[in-house]
Amino acid sequence: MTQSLDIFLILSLGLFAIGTVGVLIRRNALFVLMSIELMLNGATLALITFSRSHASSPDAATTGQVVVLMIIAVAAVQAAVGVALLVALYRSVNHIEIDKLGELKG
Amino acid sequence: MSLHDIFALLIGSLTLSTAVMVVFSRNAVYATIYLLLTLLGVACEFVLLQAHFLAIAQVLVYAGSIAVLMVFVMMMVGFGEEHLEGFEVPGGAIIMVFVFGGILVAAGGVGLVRGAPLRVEAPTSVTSSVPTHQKNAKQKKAQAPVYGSIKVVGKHLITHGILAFEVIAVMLLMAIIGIMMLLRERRVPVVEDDGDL
Amino acid sequence: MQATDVNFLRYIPLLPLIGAVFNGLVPLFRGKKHSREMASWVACGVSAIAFVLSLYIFFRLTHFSPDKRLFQDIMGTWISSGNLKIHFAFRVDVLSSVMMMLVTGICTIIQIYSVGYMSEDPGYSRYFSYIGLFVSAMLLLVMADNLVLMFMGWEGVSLVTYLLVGFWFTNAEKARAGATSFIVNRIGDLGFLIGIFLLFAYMAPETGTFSFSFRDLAVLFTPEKLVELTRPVFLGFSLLEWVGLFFFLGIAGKSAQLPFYIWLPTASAGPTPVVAMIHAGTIAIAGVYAVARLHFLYAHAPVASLTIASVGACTALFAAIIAMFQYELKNLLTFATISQLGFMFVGVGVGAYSAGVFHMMSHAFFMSLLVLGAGSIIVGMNYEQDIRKMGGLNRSMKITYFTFLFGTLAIVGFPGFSGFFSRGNVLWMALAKGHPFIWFLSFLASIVTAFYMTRLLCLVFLGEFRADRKITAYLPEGEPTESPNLMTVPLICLAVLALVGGWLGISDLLGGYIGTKNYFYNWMSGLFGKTAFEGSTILFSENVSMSLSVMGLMVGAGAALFFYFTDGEKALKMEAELLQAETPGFKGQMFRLVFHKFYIEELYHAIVVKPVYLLSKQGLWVFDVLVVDGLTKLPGRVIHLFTRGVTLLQNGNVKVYLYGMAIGLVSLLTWLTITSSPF
Repeated sequence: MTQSLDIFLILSLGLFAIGTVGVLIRRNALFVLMSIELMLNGATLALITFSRSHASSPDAATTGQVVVLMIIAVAAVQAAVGVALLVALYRSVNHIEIDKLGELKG
Repeated sequence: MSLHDIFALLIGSLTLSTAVMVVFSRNAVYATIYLLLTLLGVACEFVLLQAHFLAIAQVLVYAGSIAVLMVFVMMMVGFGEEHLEGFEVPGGAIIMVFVFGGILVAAGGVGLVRGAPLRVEAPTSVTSSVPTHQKNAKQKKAQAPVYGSIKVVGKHLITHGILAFEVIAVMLLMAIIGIMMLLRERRVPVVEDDGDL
Repeated sequence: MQATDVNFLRYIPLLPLIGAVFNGLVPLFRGKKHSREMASWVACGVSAIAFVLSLYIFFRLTHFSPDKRLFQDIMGTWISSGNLKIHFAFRVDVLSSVMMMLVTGICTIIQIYSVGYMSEDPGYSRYFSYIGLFVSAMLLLVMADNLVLMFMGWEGVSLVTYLLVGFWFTNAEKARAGATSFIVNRIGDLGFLIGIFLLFAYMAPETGTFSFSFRDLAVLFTPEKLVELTRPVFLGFSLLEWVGLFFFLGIAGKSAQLPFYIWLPTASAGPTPVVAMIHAGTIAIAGVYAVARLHFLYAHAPVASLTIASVGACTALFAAIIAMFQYELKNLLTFATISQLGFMFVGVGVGAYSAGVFHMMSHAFFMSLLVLGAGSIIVGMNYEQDIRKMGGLNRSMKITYFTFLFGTLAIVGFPGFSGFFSRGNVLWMALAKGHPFIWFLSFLASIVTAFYMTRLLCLVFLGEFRADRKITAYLPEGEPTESPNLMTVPLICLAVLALVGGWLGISDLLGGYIGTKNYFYNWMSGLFGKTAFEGSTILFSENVSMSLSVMGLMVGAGAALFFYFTDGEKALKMEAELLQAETPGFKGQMFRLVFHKFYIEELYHAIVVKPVYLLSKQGLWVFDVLVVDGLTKLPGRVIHLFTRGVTLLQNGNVKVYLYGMAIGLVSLLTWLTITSSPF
């Protein structure tokens, strides 16, 4: 019996789109970071779905999962570094609103 | 509509709604909770796709560490939005519709409508692990390992994906060192006033 | 004619050039004090070596039979484009060899004189560097194998004239004088260039190479081609006429004939030896040489030749009249030069090429003598140039007096001196070739020449010393002293040449009496061929012409002696009276007209200079600012606008950056979907 994987794709797209909207809307840098995590999740979900359905051999399918594992690790690193930057920024200007960061103008 | 599909639909809608709540909530802690729920929802979806190991990894890394990290940071830098509007939409809602709709329609809708629906072999059960009632070791061995099991993924990681594995390790190290460099307490150096320079 | 390859010809113009470069660079390294003596030794030495080499070449030539007297030195191909193949080559025949000796010899003498004259000047090495360039350019001109190379020497001479006339460039007026000489020369050079272009356009053969060399050009004048070339093509004149006229335009510019002579009086702003070199050397040698070189062309262009002769005669008379009442020493001699140049062009214009060249040679001797003598006078009088303030210098500057006397005798054509023979030849040739009116004009000019030169002699050297207290205060012992040996010895050399040089070209008639031949003429006939006489229109014989000349000389000199020798002061007072604008009467008006040089300079200023100024200031300036500046600033402005647009992207607003990324992403996805291309 076959199973339709459309639902997963719709979900991944939805996550990605919502994440993008969140990045653009929010002023607080923390929220931006969280939205970025959402986007990453959407992407990984899509990757798994496709590796499951389109893999040319079982090995290739597993490669897809390994890739996703890497992505998760990278996302962790990115979140950590982003947070560190946030903290460093807070230490220097005492707020974390990206609207007020206009000093590199021109 | 198999049980599988119903589950997928349910969990999917849950995940989406919590994701929306992450973006549109005023309170930072609420947003973090919702993020946590979203991540857990995605982990469930992974299970539904037979990628068991990844689901666990997702819970451990994302939900377990990143969300917690967010909470910690909130403790350090304050919650923001104390006296401000939570969000604004510069350029109007039209831009939002454009972006949101654009991503969905352009990438997804067209693909889904045009292309053939994705079909895979359905698993025999919802979670599709090795049936536990097979106690016979021989029967256990005869069963082919499942797509997303730790055994398969781990073996692949150690053999074919070893480079990526090591690189990730180095990257983690770099991240740790970098963050420590970024955030160490700097003592302001005392400037010796020699008078000549 | 067969040519012999002589490979060291190239060194003759090269050595002065090396000397010039050396003198130019040395002060940079060794400072001005040390380089002075070295500069003079190098310059004079190099020039003298070039002279010796020229002498050697000349004597070598004499060993060859007349139809083989041609040396060449081909250094390589200069321009090679299509069927045009111009070589960088030197060519010495009977004419060039004489020119080379003349140029190097006179320039060496003048350089030795300059060592004395310029001894105080701070720009010493620069001066000798320029002179080296001058000699080199002149040699290039007379030794060039082809028209284009000759033109290069021509232009080089113009350039160095500018450098030398404007030598004391810190004085704005003198600097402008240098510019004037160059610019007027340039205008004439345009004509020269047009002549070259016309030659190329109509004479270049379809196949094979065309090299502008004189030999090739002469060969192209075959009888068939001549028929075509002498056909009237434009305004009734043939191609050769036009070419000849255009060349003469350039020559008139360089040789200061009517109406281009105005640059020569302003050129007196330069140091006196330079003035001597220009007068005696460049303008005469370059112009007359050019016509003589192209004799094969002018022989078939009678209208152009007649134009040359007429312009020459008119110039001779015109300039002589102006010279009658001038007071500035150098100015007067300038007009004398212009007048004598007119005679030379009469000579080459009527077809008597060797006579014209011979007069040029004797003019080189006596004019350089006169100008250098003037330099000596000026130095002795502490740089005073007004002859009204001189007089009686025959007692205080004896050597200068005697040499100047020789020069004067030569220029007025006193029998026995070079001018007598050379100018007599020219006049006789004008008559013999059937141009009595030209002869008459030249004859009048000779009389006037006698007048003004005698006047000059009387006012400067004879009579009483008329300088006032202002000048005598600066003179040692209140009287002018003789110049140093470095200056007087060259004067003596030139005086001897002025006396002796004429005998080389003694006409056959006179020579018959004493048993010598016209060596000059015979030498040159190797190039020009024997001249033919128009038998029918000769009004009278050579004897009569010569006698008339002598009588004219006596009339002119006598008039001058009458006025100025007997009582110089009274004559000067009469002149001054006539000069006053209020004095009525025809005599006064005429005198003032002549004194102001017929107001030609003012005419030029009104007709040429002012309109050009107005045009450039009011008209073209606007164009320059609006269009040209606008266009040059345009790329800058465009880039500025562009960058200003780009800086909008760098406004430091994080949101904008994020938006940019999002919109970019969406566009990319859309595009990919539409084209349905997988990654």
